[in-house]
Amino acid sequence: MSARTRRGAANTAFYATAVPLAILFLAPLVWSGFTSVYGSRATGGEPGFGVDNYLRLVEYGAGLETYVVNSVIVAVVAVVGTLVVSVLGGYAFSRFSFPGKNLLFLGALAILMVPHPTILIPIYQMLRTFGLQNSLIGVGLVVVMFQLPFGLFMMRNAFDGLPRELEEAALIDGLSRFGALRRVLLRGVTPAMVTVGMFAFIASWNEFLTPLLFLTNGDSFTLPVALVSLRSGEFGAIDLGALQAGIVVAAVPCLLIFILLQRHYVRGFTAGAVRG
Amino acid sequence: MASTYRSPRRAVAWGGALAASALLLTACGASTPEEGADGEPATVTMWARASTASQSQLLVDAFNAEHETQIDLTVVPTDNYLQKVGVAAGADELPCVLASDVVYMPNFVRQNLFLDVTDRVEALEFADALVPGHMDLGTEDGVIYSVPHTIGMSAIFQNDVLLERAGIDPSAELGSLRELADNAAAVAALGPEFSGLYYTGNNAGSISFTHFPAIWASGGEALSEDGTESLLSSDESVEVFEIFNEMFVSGATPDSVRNESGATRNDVFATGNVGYVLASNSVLEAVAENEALTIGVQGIPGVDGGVSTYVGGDVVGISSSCDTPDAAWEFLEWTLGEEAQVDVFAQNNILSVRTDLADNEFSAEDPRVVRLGELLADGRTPKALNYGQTFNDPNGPALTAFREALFGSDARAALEASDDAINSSLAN
Amino acid sequence: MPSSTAAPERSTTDRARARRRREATAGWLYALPSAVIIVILFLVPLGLAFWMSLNDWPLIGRPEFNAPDNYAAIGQNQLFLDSVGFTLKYTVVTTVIYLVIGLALALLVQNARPGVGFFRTAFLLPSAVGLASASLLFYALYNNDYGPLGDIFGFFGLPVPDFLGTPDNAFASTVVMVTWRFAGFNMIILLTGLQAIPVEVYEAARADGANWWQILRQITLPLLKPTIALILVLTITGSILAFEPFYVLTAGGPSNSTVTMVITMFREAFSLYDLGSAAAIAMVLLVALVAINALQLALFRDRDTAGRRRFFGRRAAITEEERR
Repeated sequence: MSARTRRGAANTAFYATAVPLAILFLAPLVWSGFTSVYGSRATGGEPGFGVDNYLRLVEYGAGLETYVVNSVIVAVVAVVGTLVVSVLGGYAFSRFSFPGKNLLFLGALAILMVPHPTILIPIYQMLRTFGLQNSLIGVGLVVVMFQLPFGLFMMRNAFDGLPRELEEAALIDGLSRFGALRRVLLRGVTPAMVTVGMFAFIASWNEFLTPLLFLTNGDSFTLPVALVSLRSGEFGAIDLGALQAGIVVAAVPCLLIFILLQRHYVRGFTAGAVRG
Repeated sequence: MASTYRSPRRAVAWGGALAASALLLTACGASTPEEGADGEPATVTMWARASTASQSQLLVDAFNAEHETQIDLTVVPTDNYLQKVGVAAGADELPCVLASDVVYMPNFVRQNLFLDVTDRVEALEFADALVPGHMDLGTEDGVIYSVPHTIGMSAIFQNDVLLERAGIDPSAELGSLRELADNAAAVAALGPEFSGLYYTGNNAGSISFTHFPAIWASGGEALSEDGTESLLSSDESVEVFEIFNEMFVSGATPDSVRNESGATRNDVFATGNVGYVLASNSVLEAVAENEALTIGVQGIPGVDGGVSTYVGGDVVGISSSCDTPDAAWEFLEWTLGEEAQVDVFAQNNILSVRTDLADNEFSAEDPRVVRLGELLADGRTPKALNYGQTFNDPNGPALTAFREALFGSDARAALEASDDAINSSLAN
Repeated sequence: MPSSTAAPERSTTDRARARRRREATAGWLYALPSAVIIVILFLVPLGLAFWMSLNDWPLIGRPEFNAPDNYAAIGQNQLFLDSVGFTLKYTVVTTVIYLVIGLALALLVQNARPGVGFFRTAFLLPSAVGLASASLLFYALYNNDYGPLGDIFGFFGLPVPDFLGTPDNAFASTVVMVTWRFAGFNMIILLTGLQAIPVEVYEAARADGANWWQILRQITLPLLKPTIALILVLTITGSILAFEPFYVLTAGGPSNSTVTMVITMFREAFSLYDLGSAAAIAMVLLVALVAINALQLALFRDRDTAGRRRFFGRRAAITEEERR
């Protein structure tokens, strides 16, 4: 009985703390969504509800769909690239010993410690060598590079968390090393892959400086670049309505992915980081 | 010397060659060149910054509709224009036609971003009618690198409705900065929600744009003629800043001006609660009138009289990366012609970059545009090699100085104290 | 192989060596894509950046070798020197705040309760917003002519703060923004650390009559050490390289009071077009961060090797996010 009262009191204390906190965390997002459809800019006249901010967005420049398609291309390259590279690399780091392993590891680590803006200029010159200077694929590859430390460590730890017997059994069953990786091990590291892929998506979807500097043609700009152009006026004047609509459009896919994949990535962290 | 120059790039090429095989698949992402071969219509690439791109777009659309040569305009976020131009220039990837904020022009010319267009410009029969400030900043040692593109000029915009409520005749011309201060105080006295004078007080580029004219109208100078020395601590300049400082202290100018980086300036004026705003002619396009807001135009007066304006905006030139300068010039020449300036610009209430076309059938319809056109004759465009890094960069030395002078306790001391920092930024 | 027929007793070592070689080859094959990306898109550009730092590197035209001028100039760059102190202050403050708030949130939502999933998601959602978007969102919120915060303060009879108008306010406002953006992410990391602590340990402690505070001090915190160490390193690396929050939200203002080291580097590169100086600053930052992280690794190495690995695994997560 007293245990139940104690639990009841604990629950009350929990909700009394958690509810106001949740409101604090969600309020900026809600406000942004609200102001994107409310105000004089939203109606183009008297303050009220309207979708003008979104209409301006849809019709801006080459059209919203062009920028969304471009952003999706970058995101696909970034997510697929990050996953392929870090699954293979994580497997190598977890299961093999080879000369230069530690050096490679340190190279990946150093990516975290260099300020992006400076390194972008020489990267641009590198991409030119491959004819990738004005290409969405090039931008995607740069995101892959920036995501690599996270991807490699997550995947390596996830593979570390899998018992070696798993692939030994698969090898005995006649599968090749790669076959074992593909058919048996991948299932075990799916949560970590979801986590890595999700962060690659969020990073690529929000990346501003790389596409801005690397893409020379307005038709190949990604969503964030177009959004920043749309709201900019003379001497920093901002179209605040368009700004809010832009924040919503940029955030909604990421929020949805976060909510939909929540179970997986929480497990991904646990599997990859803690058990490893 | 040549070997020091080449070696890094060769090193990159080597590194690239080594890795090329691994990245073969990515070759499909390569861009295609845009120039047409012989006889085919050329596509000419062009960049403009977002804040003036709507005007560029009007010209491009009209030009493309009736020419074989096609202009492909890319709009670049305003705050990131320098970054984009810098990276592209370093890689020789600039677009054929490059528009630039006029104040950056001396620096861009020094960086060899533009081709010489002297002969082409001098062949124009209306060459003398091109806005002189713009022409001056795009010229070095007698060589012309750019032509005017769009005009952004500073002026005072007033809410006639509110002025009448404060007992001020909106049609009367402001005689002096002191009169502006008195009127602003009268508007602010209407109630706590009303502001007398609003301006962009947290943006050095904007402050020089709106406050230098008051110095000029007072008979002073903000910069030395060669643009390497600050004259902001001169008596004329100090007096101007002192008057603005008094307006801030007295409340005629609201506290929020101190934080206004420009983002909300138009929105604040649009509320109708502001008597005067110091801004650019873009206000006429960006702010809609309503029953609480009728917009009038005034020149920026000096301390005891006179009037002036800062003629900013964009110039446009042919970049050093351009392979089709003839096609690019075909466009530039057309943009300066009567059709573009009158039928495209004037019809859309946009100021002409030609002084001989300031009076035209369309501008006559809006007395405010007529007034701006008249003010243009008294306009100035300061020229300094390091103007951008001194006056436009939010982390440059001018912003701190301006804010201290406008909102601090002693304008003269603030301006004198900042002379060294501004001079060293202008000089190096 | 001829050797295997010649000397049978050596054949086992040969076979072992061959197997090791096969292993190494296979390992390299799997690691090759990573290596290609790291070398081409990072190490070679990094080398080029280092070369730039030894040259006077104009936009167009010939770079001229001028070492060590760019490095010497850092000592004369007042904006940069001022930014060092500010960046360190920001780093210390965010590190403490992330740790305390992250831990508080993690403790709050660690037990299963009806609706706890909702709260976890609520705290984590801001992490899905890009840092630049988040900065713009708060820029609008902090604008008293536009955002609602001024009205809310007024409603409660409080003086309306000038959120970005004074150095202290601008700093505090930025810290609030990044806390909003990153608290949930730190919470989830600490949560995974908490959930790795076996329930039996708590039960035993409770059976011994330990109260909530004693359990936290003597059981939870010591067992969380690797996770806490991880957050320390993550936050320190990310905060020292902080750029977007100040670039977008405060533009380094008011009056250059919130200029970080990376902002000064950005200005050298893109406003002054001095790529050599910018690269030199980047190199200094790189060396400093490698030193700081090596030091932290050394400090935590002897404690727990598995923890060190954890540490790496998650460092990547935050700094990547932090940077964006």
